[in-house]
Parts: sequence; structure tokens; C-alpha cells
Amino acid sequence: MVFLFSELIDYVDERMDVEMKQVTAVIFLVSFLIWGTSAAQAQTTQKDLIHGLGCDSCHDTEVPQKLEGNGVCLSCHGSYSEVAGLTSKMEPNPHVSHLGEFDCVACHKPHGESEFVCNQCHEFEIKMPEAAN
Amino acid sequence: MESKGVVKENAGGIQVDRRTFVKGTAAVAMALGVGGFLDNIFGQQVKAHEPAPRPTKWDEEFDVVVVGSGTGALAAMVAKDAGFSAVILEKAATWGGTTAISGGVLWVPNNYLMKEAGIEDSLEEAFEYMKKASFGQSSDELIHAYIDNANPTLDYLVQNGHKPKIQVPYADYYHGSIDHSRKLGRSVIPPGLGRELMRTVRAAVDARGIPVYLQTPAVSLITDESGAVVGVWAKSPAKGKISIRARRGVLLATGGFDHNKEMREHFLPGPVYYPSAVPTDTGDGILMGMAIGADLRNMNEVWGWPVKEITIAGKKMGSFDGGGERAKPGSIYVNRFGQRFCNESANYDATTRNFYWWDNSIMDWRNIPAFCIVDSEYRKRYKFGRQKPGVEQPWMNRSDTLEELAGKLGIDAEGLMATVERVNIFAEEGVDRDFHRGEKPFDRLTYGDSERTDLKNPCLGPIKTPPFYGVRVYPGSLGTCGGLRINGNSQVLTPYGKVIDGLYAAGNTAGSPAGAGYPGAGATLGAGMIFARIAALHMAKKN
Repeated sequence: MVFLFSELIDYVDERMDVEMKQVTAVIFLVSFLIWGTSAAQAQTTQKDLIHGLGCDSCHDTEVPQKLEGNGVCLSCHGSYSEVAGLTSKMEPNPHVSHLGEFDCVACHKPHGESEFVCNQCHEFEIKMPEAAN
Repeated sequence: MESKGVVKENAGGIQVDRRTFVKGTAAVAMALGVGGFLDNIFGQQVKAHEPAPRPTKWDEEFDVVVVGSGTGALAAMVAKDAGFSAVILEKAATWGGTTAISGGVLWVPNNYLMKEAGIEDSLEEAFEYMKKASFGQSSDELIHAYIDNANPTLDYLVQNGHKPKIQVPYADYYHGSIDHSRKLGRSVIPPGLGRELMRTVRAAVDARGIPVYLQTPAVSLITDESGAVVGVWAKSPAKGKISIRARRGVLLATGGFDHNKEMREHFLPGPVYYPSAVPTDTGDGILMGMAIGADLRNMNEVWGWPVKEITIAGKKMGSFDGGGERAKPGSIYVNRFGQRFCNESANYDATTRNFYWWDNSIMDWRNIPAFCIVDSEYRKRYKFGRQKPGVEQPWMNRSDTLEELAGKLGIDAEGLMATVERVNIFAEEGVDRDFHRGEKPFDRLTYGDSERTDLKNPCLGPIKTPPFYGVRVYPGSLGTCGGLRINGNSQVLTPYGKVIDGLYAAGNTAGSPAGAGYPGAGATLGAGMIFARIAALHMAKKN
């Protein structure tokens, strides 16, 4: 709660002068108290998240932190090579790259529009699956 | 023992944990019963491929064993058509080696597509051209073998489903510099590039029922009392160590040694960055041949190409800096002093050579790293690090002034500004008085932008519209092209010129028939497929 509140203050800070900020901060604080924990999901709506999971499905800490590596994704999906096996019929296999293993979120973006990064250079006929968005 | 230290190197983007690597090779040596301990890592690598004893009973038997599933695969098809059994061993989990990720081009002088298009050519002229274009590091025997067998090889591929077209607008790589070149037609390319080529070959291999063993590297050659090669030891993922008899011969087609640090250091004249060959190209075939006394040729050579260092999804990589980028008007290469050092519109192999100037005044490579500098007019029209016009990436170092760009990249700012001023005068006059860019027909035909009516020279444009962009460029390679010394039958020879019976090599595992040159697009795969077919035909003739 404290974390999110301070973030909101920062957000407001960029846009308003000090007086307005104080008033708005109070409004936000009140909203917070009413909403309780559901407010945590107000920033990123359910449909923006991969598989429609909640924040704590991935960010398993009291204060959500930026995740490194593929550990969280692979804890459900198996190893990277197992994932590559699932797409082995695709031409080319998007999980076999000359650059080795990618961060899953380089393409499958939990907080934004997913992107097939290979096509930053190549022009493969591969689209990101909707389920992953 | 230096080799006991953990050395993480990151030259050319390759990370090698030396201890793991050495442990790996030592384990192979021990598994083969070689034993002993060598201080010399390179010697240890050869030792790891030492011929092992003949098995009392062969695990498998074939007439022809092909090691490597790139261009060498053609040999298995040819052998099968001649009535012999064949097998293809592939170290990687995927089919096709470097060929499958290549452009899929074959350099075939006087081919049927040229005839259809009315382009005159002759094998005699092609021989003269290739001889000069190999710069003394090949032999008449190998060049004749290439030229005389190129068309039968292409025709054979076409019979098997290959559907190439003339590669437009590719002139021979020394067109305008060496006589008897052609401005178009000798390079033929399938629309789907190397992926398509190797898919076609795979379908033909499967149709013949030729077994392909993936993840099954050959480890060492097996010889008989006379020293002739009669089979290989391989490592099978399911069965472990297996002996495979080769009644007629073994073709080593394992690619080059791009991903073998020790071999690169000991044989190549300078560093190679971001090599483009598949990571399994660690010189296995060459080492196996060395282990039984084969001679080497052309080991100081690569099929060179410059690469731009770009970053995709947080990963640094080398992006081939071909004519579609480097050579276009408004793009120049400079070194850290801000000075140009090459004709940016020459062919990529020749351009790569200009990086290798060891400068004794600074006791360093003067042109490594180098930098590709462009302006916004360039970026409106052409790709930059494979990114389309309009795409901005942080690694492009977008800057409002050349001074700012020089600062970001570590280039001498005064040097860069003086160079750009001079290039802008050249562009206005249409004449590059320093490196003669755009003078040779190759530059203009293949890489120039003929649609630029605003320019006097289709390869030369000014760099004056901010913002400016710049990235590091390095000498890279498509593959090393030195290896086992072969004759015109693809047979491997000893240093005394004696044939090693039963042993053949082709492609980047053999000393290239193109020597120190690169006659045209597809001389790379051409040498692989042509000499693979020659090898199979020779094995088929064996009594």
C-alpha cells in the first residue's frame, strides 16, 4: 500500500503544482482506503496480464519487484528446450535462435503489447499468439 | 597449467568457459582410451580425435559415411543413386548446418539460367577468372575440378527439386578488377535462401531412405593396417559410442573452425568477431584429419564479411553489413581516428581485409573496431543494422552533431569532421579520390543506388543532414575456408602428397579451391556441394 501510494504521488508530481497535488493526493488516499487491495490491480488491468493472472502469480513478494530471468515463467512451462519442443513444427522455430535463449518477456510482454523480436531484423511470417497477450 | 584457470572471454560475442571446454575435450580423450596429459590445449584437441582401435564387431555398416549435414549431404544422395548405402551424421540437433542459415547461393559459371537469359559465358573464361581470383592460394587442379563439375552439380540439384533464379543484381565479386568476370548470372539463388535449399536436399535424402543421425558427432576416424580410413567412431545420444564402417569412404564435411578459439588464434591472421557459422563448427573434421596425418591448406583464410554490432532484446550480436547498407550513399566506415580506410562499396570479403592493418605506430589493429557513420538522409532510404527507415534503437547513438556522435563512440572528433567534410566534396564531385568508391562496375551494379538521380556517383552521398547515427563495425566471417588438403577427387592428402585412401573432405573442412579469394556469391556453398558430389562419384568408382 505504501509503495503504491508513493508511486501515485510521483505520478501526480509530474503533472501538477504543489497545491493541486496535496488535494489530489487526499482524493487518491481516500480511494485507496475504499478500494483496499483491489486498487493494486487498478494500475494494470487483468486483461493486460499474461494469461489473466494476478500480480502475485509472478511477483511473489509483498512489494512487487522487477523480475530477472525466466525462472517464474519456466516454473509452470518447464525448461526452455521443452518450450522449444512445443513450437518445433514452426518455421523457423521461434524458440531456437542464433542468439541463444531469450528472456521470455522480450517477446511475451506481461505489461505491454507483445512483440516478435526476431522480426526487428528478420521478416518471418510469425505472429504472437493472442493467448500470450 | 594455464588451462586450469576459468577464463571467461567475450571476444566476438562468444563466451567460452575454458575450464569447461578443456574438461570436455579431456573427457572425450579419456573415453577413447587415449589417456596421458598434454600441456598444449591445441595438441590435446587433435589427441581427442586420435584414431581409435578398430572394433571387433562394427555397430553399423554403410558404403559411404558423410560427416556433417550441410553441403556434404549431397554426397549421400549421389552415392545412393550409384547403388550404394549411405548415412549422414550430424553433430547438432538440427539439420543443414551453416548452409541452412545461409543465402543458399551457388556460384556456377555458364549455367543453364545464363543460357536461358542469353548471357554468354565459357568454362575457359571462368577458369582464368577463378585462377586470378584465388590469389595464388589454390591450384589449377582444384579450380578445374570446381569449374568442370559446377554445372553437373547444379543440374543434379535441379533434378532433385532445386528451383534457383539468377541472383540479381550480383556481379562477380571482382567484376571490373579481374578479367573474365561476369556482371550477372554466375550466382544462382533459391527464393527461400539456404533454408529452402536444405529443405529440398532433406526431402531428396528422405525420399532415398538415407538415414540421418542428428546429435551424433563423429569423434575419430578408424584406419586399417595400411592407414586407409575404413570407418568412424561416433557418439550416439541413445547408444553411446558407436563404430560405423565405411566400406567405400568417409566424407568430412563438418564446416570450418569458426567456433574453436584455439584454432582461430593459431591459424587466422587476426581476430574474427561474431562468426556467422553455426556454433557446432568447431573444426572437428579438420582435427580428425590432422590426427591421422593429413596436410592442411588455406588455414589463414575466412570468407570474410563486416558486421555491425547491434543489440536485440538485450543481446549483442553481429549483423551482416552487406551492400544493402554499408555500400549505399551516405554511409562511411571510419576508424577511431575518424579516418576512412576502405572502399565501402567493394565486395564484403575484400572489404573485410581492410580491417586487418596492424599499425606499429600504435601497436594495435588500427581499424578494429571501426564505425559506420550515416546521416538522416541515409536513414530515410536504407536499412541500418537491419532496422528499417524510421526505426530508432538506442544502440544507433543518434546525435545532433558529428562531435556528439564522435564522443559517444570514442572517435577523434576533429578527424571525423575533417573526413566527413572531404567525403561531402567527393560526393558533390562524384569522385572518391581516396578509395575510388563507385569506380568499379561491381560497386555500381551490385551495391550502388541507381535510382539516386540526385547523385553523380550512385555509391557516394554526402553526410550532412542531422541527426547523425553511428555503430561499431568489426571484421566477421561466414565461415573459415582453410582445412584438409584435397586433390581434384576430394581425396585428402598427406604433407607428402600421398592420398589417404578412404578419406575425403569438402566445403569449409577442406582447403578452399577459391584460395584467398571470393570469386562470386555462392563460391562458398558451391565448393561444398561440388566437391561433395565429386567425392561420392569417386567413392562409387572404387573397386
